[in-house]
Amino acid sequence: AAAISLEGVGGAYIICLGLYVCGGLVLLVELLWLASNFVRLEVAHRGAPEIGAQRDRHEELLSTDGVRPAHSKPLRSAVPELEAAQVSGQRFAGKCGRPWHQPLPAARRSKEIRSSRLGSADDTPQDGDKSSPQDRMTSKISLRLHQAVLGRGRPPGRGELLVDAGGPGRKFVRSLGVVLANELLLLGEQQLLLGLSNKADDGEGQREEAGEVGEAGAGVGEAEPVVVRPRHPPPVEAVQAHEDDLDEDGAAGQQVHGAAQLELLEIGRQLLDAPLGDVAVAGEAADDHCGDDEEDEGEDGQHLHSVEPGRVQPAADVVVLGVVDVPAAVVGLGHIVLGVQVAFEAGGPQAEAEEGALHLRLQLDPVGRHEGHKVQDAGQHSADKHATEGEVPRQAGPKVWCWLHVVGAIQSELQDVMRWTIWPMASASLCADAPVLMATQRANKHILLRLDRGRRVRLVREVYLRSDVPCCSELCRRGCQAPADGCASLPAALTHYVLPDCAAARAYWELFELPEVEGVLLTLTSLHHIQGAGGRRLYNRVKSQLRDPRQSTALFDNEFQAECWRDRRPGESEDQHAAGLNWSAARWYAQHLDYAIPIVLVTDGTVEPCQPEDKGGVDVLSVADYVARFHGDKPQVTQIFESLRASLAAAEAASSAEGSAGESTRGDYPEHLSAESLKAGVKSGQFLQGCLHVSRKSGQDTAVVSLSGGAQMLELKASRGEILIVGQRDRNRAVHGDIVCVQLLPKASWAQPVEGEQQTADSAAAPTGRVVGIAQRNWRDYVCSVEPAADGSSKDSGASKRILAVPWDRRVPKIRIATSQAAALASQRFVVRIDAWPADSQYPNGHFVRPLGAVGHLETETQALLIEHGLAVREFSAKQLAELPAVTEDQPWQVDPQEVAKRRDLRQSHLVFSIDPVGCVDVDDTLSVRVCVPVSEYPWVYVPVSEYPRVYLPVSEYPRVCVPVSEYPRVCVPVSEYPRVCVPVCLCPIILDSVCQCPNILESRCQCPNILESRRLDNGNIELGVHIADVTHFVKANSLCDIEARQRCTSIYLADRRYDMLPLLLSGNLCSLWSQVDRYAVSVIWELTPDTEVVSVWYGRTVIRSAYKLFYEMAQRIHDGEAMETAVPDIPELAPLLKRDRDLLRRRFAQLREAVSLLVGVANTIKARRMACGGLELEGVEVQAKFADPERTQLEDLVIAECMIFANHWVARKIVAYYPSQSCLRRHPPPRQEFFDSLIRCAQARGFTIKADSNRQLAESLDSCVDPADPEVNRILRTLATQAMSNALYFSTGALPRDQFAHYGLALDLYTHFTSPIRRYADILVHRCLLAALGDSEAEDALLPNQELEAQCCLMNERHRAAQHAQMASMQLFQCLFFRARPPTDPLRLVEAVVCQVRDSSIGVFVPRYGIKGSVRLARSDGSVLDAGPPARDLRSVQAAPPLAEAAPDGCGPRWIPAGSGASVSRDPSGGSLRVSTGPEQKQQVYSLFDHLVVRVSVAESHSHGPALQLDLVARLVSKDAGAADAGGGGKADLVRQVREREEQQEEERRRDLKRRQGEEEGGQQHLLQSTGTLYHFLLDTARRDAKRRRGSGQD
Amino acid sequence: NPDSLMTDILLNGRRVDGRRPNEHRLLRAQLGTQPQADGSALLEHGNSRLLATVHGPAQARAADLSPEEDCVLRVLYNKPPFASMTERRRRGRGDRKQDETALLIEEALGGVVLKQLYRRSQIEIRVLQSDGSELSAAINAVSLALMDAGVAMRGHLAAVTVGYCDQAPLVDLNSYEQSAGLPSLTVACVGQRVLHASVGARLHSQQLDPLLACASRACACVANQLGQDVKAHLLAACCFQSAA
Repeated sequence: AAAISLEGVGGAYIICLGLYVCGGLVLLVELLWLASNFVRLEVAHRGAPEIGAQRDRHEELLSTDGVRPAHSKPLRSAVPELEAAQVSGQRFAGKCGRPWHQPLPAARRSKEIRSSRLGSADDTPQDGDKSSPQDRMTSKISLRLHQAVLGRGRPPGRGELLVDAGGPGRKFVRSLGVVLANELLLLGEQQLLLGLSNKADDGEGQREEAGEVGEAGAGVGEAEPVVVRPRHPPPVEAVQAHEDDLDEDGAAGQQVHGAAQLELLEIGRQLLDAPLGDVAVAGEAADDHCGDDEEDEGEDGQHLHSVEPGRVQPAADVVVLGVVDVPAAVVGLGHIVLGVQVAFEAGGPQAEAEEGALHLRLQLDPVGRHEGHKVQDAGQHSADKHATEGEVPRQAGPKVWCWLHVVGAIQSELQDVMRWTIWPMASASLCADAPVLMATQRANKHILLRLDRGRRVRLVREVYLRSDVPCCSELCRRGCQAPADGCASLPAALTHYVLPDCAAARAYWELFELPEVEGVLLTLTSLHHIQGAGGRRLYNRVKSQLRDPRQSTALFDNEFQAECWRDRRPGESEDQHAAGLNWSAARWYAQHLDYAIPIVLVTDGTVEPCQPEDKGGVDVLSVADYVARFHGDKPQVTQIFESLRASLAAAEAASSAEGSAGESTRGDYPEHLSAESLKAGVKSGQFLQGCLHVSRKSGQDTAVVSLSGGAQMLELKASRGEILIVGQRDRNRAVHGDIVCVQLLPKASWAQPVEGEQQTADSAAAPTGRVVGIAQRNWRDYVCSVEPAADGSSKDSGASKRILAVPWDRRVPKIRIATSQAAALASQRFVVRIDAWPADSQYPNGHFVRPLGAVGHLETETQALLIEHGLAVREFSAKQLAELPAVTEDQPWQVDPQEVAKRRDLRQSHLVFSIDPVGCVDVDDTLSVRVCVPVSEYPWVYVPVSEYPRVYLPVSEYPRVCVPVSEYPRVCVPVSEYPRVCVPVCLCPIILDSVCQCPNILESRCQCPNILESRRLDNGNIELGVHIADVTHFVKANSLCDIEARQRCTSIYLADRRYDMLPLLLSGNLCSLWSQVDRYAVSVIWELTPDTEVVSVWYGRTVIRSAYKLFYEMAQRIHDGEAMETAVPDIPELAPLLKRDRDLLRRRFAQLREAVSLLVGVANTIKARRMACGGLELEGVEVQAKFADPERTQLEDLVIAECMIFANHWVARKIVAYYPSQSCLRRHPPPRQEFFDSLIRCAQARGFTIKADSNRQLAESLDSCVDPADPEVNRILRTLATQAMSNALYFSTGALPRDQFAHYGLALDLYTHFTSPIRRYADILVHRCLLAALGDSEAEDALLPNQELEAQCCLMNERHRAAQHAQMASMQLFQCLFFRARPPTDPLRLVEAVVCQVRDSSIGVFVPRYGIKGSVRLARSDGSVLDAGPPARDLRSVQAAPPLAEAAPDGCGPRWIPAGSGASVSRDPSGGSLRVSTGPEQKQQVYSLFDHLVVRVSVAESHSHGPALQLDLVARLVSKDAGAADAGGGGKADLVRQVREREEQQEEERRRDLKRRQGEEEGGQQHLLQSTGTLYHFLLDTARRDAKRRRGSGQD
Repeated sequence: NPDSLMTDILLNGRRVDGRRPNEHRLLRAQLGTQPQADGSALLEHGNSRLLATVHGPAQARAADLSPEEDCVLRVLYNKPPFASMTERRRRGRGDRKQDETALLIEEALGGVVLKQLYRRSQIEIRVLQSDGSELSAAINAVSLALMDAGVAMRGHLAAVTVGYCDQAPLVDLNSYEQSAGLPSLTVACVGQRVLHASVGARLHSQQLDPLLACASRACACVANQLGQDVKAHLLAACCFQSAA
């Protein structure tokens, strides 16, 4: 039985083998680390029978020292057995003359350590204590390196590193063992031998204990402690002599070192090749070799023994110390060589003086095969060494040879050893190919941070300097690394690069943001300054500009460029240091670019830079000089510069005035709390955080904070998590949209909420609070105008003047701006940015950015709309347009044959057509539909030869190949042989269209999809295809166009124009699926059973040729069965055939009609299926009308929409399956039940019941709410239902749990947007996702990870909402302009309206004719009440009514009854009606929902906020006038057209006027900027030209 | 706002202190600086500067020895208030953060020190100046000090802290990067064996593998670099002796 212990094997180069053989059968191999003495000690300690008694004794021992150690640990020694060990240690120490453990300075510690090491506490060698520090150092390490040949049969030239383990130097041996040995070995292939000898006592008694101890088996069976004895270094001469000896014996010595290595390699290789052998047993009977060994001693002390496996012999105690020797070459080949040094002691207990060392070397390969071993009697060495100490050890012939029995169990352990051993090699190689680098050159930068409450923190940040900082210029000829991804580079074709100084960059950054200022080089120093001093908003803006490749602004990391950095000098301020850094950056840059381009360092002169003598090709200019010299001709630049300068000067003046006056704040507003205390307050619940919404209606006074964290408190739940804020002081300088922290006021001071629809009679006071701090400012650009001065005085233009600008948005406070152009701005709209809002200022301070145009003009107002909704867009730049394929008039774009080969070709096989609203230019979706007729209906297939030179048969069934036509004039194929033919509907006589045209029949088996398809679709199934323009083919990910589109997110459709998301070439041409041209598409093709069960879906890229571009009306006519003769002239694709080929025409038309009918049928079935699941048909939820009238042909639009919903759904399914965590989907969260309350109440008022428990119930009950007499009822109810719902949103699937993916309104579990990639960026993302799912690697690379996608989804949601609002606002604007031009008595102003909402003192009405929603006031704030007069019979009867007057004669029209006359307005408790009692006679007028009224539309003008429609009550109607809604022309399209025409006329007049005036002013030399008219009209002209171009392209 | 910090940490393809994502800070070690101790090492990870001293091995108190373990490795970790600028509060003896760090180091060392050889060791680590990645720096320093003390170990224990930002693993986070709350991973390796790995902040499971791979590579480099310092130290000692 063998128990093997391999403790401490890891990483070992030094392994001690403890070998204990007992009973002749048990062989214990103990592999230990160097210091096996500790193991012995451990044995001894564990053998201690009792501890407590000994502790006292130990303490006694310690106390003899006089001082008790601070953390004295009782020794557990002093058992009788241990005594022996102690004695032996003592003896040894005494004998050696020098303790092997060099005493440490602290005597006590050394004692303690020593005692633990040796088990003797009282053995304090005196000489150790006396030794001088010098001695200590010298004795600390004794490394000897000598060349020695260690054996015959061994390659010569191996080195031996003798390391003396004596004294504290021992630790270095271990260090070596851990780290260095291998490296040394690698270096010189030295062999590490540890000169340790062993002292072993014979202790029979302890052997028994060993049995107890050896619980881990492991154990060490030795009975007595092994004392590791140092081998002191032989004197130099001795070693020299030894070396000489060896060299004489050695064959070649060092010279053959290289050869030796090779040989080692060879050996290693052989070993590797050798088959796995048996368990190697290295053992020899000691007795047999005793004599040999002694003989060998006479030689050079080395001996190679043969191994005789299996011979195991009991022997006396043997202790083996081992040294693992790992020659690099062998290790490299996966072999391990264990060099084991064996020291042994034989003899009785008294023979302590006898010692000998025997070196046994064993080489093992990884599988444990031994290669051989050498035995060396180390006696000679020790003799040499000890001789120097004046001590000659007696040589005693060993009775016993050591046994090395490596049994099978050791094998895996050895492999483990090998793995451990190999790692330094592996790590070396790892280091080689790992990209982990160590930085080298370093400096420190000191940053002074000012924290809250005046605290200052000095931070030290490392700066690692390098020479390979990219310069980001295209002019660079020194091979600079390209700038990192997402960072812009400076183009080469510029006149100069401008490098703004810290202060200039911070104060005038808006200047450098302008597209006119190109080539801005921002240093890291300036960026840090902006970050530190400019605030987070500015910093974020700068960063986003740096990231925007459209801007040519580059960031130069000057602080990491070794040549640009210098340390801050003593006494130098931070600003001066920064200025100096910018200077050196500019000079380095100029020099780096070989002075190829001037570098302009722009400074605002606040910091005096330490001007170097050598300017090094850098021009220094102040900001004013720079603007004047380089951009003097660009009004945008000069204007904004002037404005910024004025604003800065004003701020400075204000601060200096305050400083000089020394007075504190006037206390207009309380100070905001610091960010830290806000955070803490929000955390503790003291404050609540949310977004501030100012009420649009109640103007400046009340605002509402909607809490972001939901309603945590009970009281807040009732108010939907909203907190009321009343008054400016409580609002405390928060602006609409800011994220604020609110403190709730005590309940006593809670205020009444704003009037709202939820208002009930018993409404309690709402939670009210006050703003204590602002977590985040969300200031944006505000469109403002200046209120015309009442007196019209103070026209001192030129001087900087502070004026109050009134924002267009009523919710935003007035902004004080400093400008020198006050007069010029008087009647203009312009953009203003807020800079700050100090506590002592009533209004925020801002600065003027740019003018928009005169108030009231269409262009101005439209621009204002866009800016107010955050939708302002730039024109596409030349760079972006350059990315698109070049298309000219004479060279239209063509499909690329190579690209076509990669796609499925549907041009011949499918009848593809599109149905769109009239005037639609960007056709992004087309459809195809066909039925495959069972073949049995066509007994014969007749193939005219003239058209088909080859006939293709399904190859799978017919090994025969095609029939060359030349051989057969006609080919007749019996149906039995041609079983599967795909026939488009109504093409019975001409099957040819569907026959595959694959040029190579042999390949057609697998490659031609049509053949496969025609085989598949022979069962009467329907094939429906949706083909969407392949935008991603043109817009590559991260191209400039893509980035622009990602920013725009959506095309914006205003009433009279649109702003495309993609350049016109794409949206209006290449990606527009026009008829009769080849286009790339991404298709989804379903195979449906006749009852529209989906059999299979095919997704992929295709190339299509749309056959017809139909309009809704046309398709409707075709579907309705209009005769060919009347319909065809309106189909441009078919019209030419009218005269040429009536036969073909008839076939084609029949084919089209069939397809349209089939499509309608399929779509209706799909829709019915979806509706059965609870899909809602709501106004404006998902079925958003394109740029068209909402009055649409109901059938076709819904059919197309249904197909698109179907496609979207299936694409969503596909992408979610492939990318469950990064797909862009669209969800529609289910609404909260309480939001339906008003809807249910309204329906009840009319006697309908609505159940909103599920979307299905809601849909059903909405369908049932139809009043046959009044179609408006259902429409209004649906609108109300829409309002109750939340918006549908894009989201990333990784951001939400799966159960929230569903779309409530459409009743689909998955939904996305796929079908309009021209107009929506989400669709582009989905296209990429789909293509990636289909295996397109390029698309896969472009996929956004979850977080980025989620961020993009948020942006898209926001932009979509903004675009919709802008569209509505634009429509309202047009309505206003339309009515403004009408005379007050125009009959068009009188319209019928339906009550759709009842409020406290007004009613909400809907005007079906114009699609206007508005409110009609029934009571005014002064308390007067409107008396509507007697109800009228119909609209016509009140046409003659005069405009609302204060004092209309009683009984003939509405009139205001002043307050106090007893008139009152009260709301019905049910909320469904409003009662107006006029006067004391209690004549009641009731307004309830769905009542019909006659209202007069008028326009309320406002200089600052733009015009708004106003509805005034004219009369109530007794009976519904059914025809009213339809009477009178003027749909929305009409309205828009009229307004535009008039606007153009006016502008034409204005232009004429302008020309005339210019002619007059020619001599005046008026500056463009100074003249209102000039500037304004210049802008206007540009805008009009743009508009014209847009319109022109829109109509073609 | 973590967002703004995130973009800051990797801007223009480099980190706040100008390193590339894969670059370790300047690494310098000095062994045997404290002659009073059995072993000592002064280690600089950039601006993080630590002093580790080893006292022992010494006899262990009976109370410290558990039946399972007969060796006690006691690590004391101390970060005095002057070590960092932002965190100036005095940490007492029972400070949990320091104790936890000490415990982590103990655990890591337990895997590499041949504990069966020693009854008791006490290892002290003192952070002189802190600039991030203290745990990994402490492990490195302790490893060096143990070598200096001659304590037998299975191999060179090297540690590194890596973070994950913008799809890129960042090697050796400094304090600024650590304060941003990046998902970070501290790994201590002997060779390619990971003896200790601790994750700070939430780490996506997909990111763990690349991060671990990067960390083990970095560990190899650290071991390489520190090994050179040790070698230099030894050779210097050799020269000194031979000169003597």
